[in-house]
Amino acid sequence: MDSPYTIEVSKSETFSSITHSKTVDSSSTSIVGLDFSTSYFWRVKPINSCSEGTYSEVGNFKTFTVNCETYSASGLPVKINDAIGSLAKYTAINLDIFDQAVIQDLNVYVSVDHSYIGDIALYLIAPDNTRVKLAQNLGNNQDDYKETIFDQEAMTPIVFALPPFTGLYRPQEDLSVFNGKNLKGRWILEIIDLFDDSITGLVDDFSINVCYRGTVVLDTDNDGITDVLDNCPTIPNPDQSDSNDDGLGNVCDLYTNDNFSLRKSDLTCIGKNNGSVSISAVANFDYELSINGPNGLSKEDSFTHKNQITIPNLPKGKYTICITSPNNIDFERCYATELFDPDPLSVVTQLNASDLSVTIDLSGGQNYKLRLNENHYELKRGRHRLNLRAGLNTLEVSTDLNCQGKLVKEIYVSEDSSIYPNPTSEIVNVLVGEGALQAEISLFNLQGDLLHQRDVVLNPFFRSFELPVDYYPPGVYLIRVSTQGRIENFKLLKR
Amino acid sequence: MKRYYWILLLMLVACKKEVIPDPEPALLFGPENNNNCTTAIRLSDQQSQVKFSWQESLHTDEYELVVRDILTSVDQKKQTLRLSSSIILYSGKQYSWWVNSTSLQTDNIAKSQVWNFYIEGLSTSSHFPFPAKLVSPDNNAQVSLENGVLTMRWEAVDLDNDVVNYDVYLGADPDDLDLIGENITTNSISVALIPDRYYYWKVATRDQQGNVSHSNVRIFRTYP
Repeated sequence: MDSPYTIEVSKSETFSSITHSKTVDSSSTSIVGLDFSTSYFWRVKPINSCSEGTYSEVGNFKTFTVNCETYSASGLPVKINDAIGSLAKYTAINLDIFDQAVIQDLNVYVSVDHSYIGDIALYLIAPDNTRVKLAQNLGNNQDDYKETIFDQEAMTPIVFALPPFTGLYRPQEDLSVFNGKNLKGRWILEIIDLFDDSITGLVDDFSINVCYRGTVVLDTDNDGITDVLDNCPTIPNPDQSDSNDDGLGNVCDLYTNDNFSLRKSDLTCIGKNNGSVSISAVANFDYELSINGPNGLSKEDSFTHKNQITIPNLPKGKYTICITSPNNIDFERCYATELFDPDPLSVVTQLNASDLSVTIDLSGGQNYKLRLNENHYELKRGRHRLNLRAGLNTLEVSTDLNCQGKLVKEIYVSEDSSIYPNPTSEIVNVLVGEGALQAEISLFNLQGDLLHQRDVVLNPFFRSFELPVDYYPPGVYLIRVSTQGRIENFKLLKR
Repeated sequence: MKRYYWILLLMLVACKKEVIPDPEPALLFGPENNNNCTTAIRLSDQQSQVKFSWQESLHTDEYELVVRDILTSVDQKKQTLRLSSSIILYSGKQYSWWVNSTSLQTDNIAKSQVWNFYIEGLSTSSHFPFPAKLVSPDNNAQVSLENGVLTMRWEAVDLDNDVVNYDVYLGADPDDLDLIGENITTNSISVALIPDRYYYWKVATRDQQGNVSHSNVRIFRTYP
């Protein structure tokens, strides 16, 4: 038999006041009721019935601060899957905890609404997949686990309790296996329904109350990076990207160079105002956009990092785009762009009918070689005027650079109008000559009755006008084409 | 007597010089000349089917449709007896087209007018350059001039990799900077500065597609 010892614990090194003192028969003991986060000194002396020994040398230790925190699963209530035949159905409630701490004690809070509670078994699964049976098929045909707390230190085992099991109970398996383990990770409450009885239930509450040493390491945005290390603690950014290396993560940083991504789309055809500019942002802010374009075009819009914004239906021209944020009035970022349309088909900008000449705009190169019919010209960039002849003109433009290619254009200048096809059965086309931009086209029968008359507007390159004749009886008709100061007559045979 | 008639007839047939007419040029219908936005049947993002039609021409047995890519001068040809034909072309390009009228009787070919058109293509889009990253001087830096000159440096990124040049702005008022270098193709500029002054500066980055981005405005001070 061991001889007894007296053990003394004090907050002072001189043991001027003793906080704990006890006599034990063994060479180890536990002291309960110590203060948190406090330094203590302790000493031991052996005693027996006739005399006492001397005190040992003084040892010291420090207690931790223990804090407790409750973490609750979100998205509840969740329906419990009923078993199908002999096939048990599993329902899992996830609880993700991002705080880092070492568990000292862990209790589980559960509320389950089920009208045949004996169907149900409850398990707690830790992030490391340790599985602890909390309760299995208890309570027969009665109702519910209502505000049940599974606590390893509870006096009453759950198996001796009755539904709705309200209060503190010791679970069927040992919850203290989690003590000393890490808190961080996904905890799962697993509900197994073993009996197919068309009774489903709801999980109303699943929480874990954890006591841990010291203070928890916070991770407010739950991105796995603790707040003290996180370059943007309030917005999840597990990649921690920080393009401008200013210590502020991109998702928090308005001023990052690549915060905004802008794209522009040019017009698909000349004159078709279908250009667009689209903008997206990385940093989590509200943004306001103003865009100014040609002819006083001005638009405003707002967007956030969540949605890409597109400004559609823009005409060609130069634009300035500025982005501001109502969250930070000092911030402004500006861009400029130009929306283009496809290259025009020809260098000919104007056909001058009055004096039978063509105006040519040359741009893009420096020196140009022109051939108009048999005449060769060497021209600098800019606007030039060349005389045409009646009939077909061939215009050839090339620069001093071979890679820029050659442009060949045929310009038809006819003094006389013509009609085709003739004879016809349905439609006759009238080609108006002389470069006139307006013409009056009239259709007469041989008796001189006016059957149809149209004023047509023409352009220099497309001089044809369609005249439908299919609803007139076969025979000979007269077409009169009248332009400024000139009248031409044609005979048309309608089949 | 009857026999003489036969001989006379034979002689007539043998002696009559047959006139073989040349084919005449066809008149084009469509796609109409100088149409800037031909709407064709879009087959894919790249290709469209374009229908060409023209008017019947005299003395013609067969038509040859020729479509030329104006940029490359590559021709596509198609023979047909009909007055229309379809050809698959790349969108977003300029073409010219004409019709050759051919005859079995003669080798002479009649060429119609040449018409030009443009097929609407997909919109071309481009990324804006990211605002330039001002490398030196650092923000809020004190800088010493070498012979009164400071070299300022920056970097820029464009996802299309088509940065063309930069404009550099410098001044004492951040809201009213002076353009001190325009269309610079290098990533640095050397400027003569006055000692013991505050300067603000920024860089505008321009790409091939006319997109421009402005960097943050930074400040530095020259040593006395």
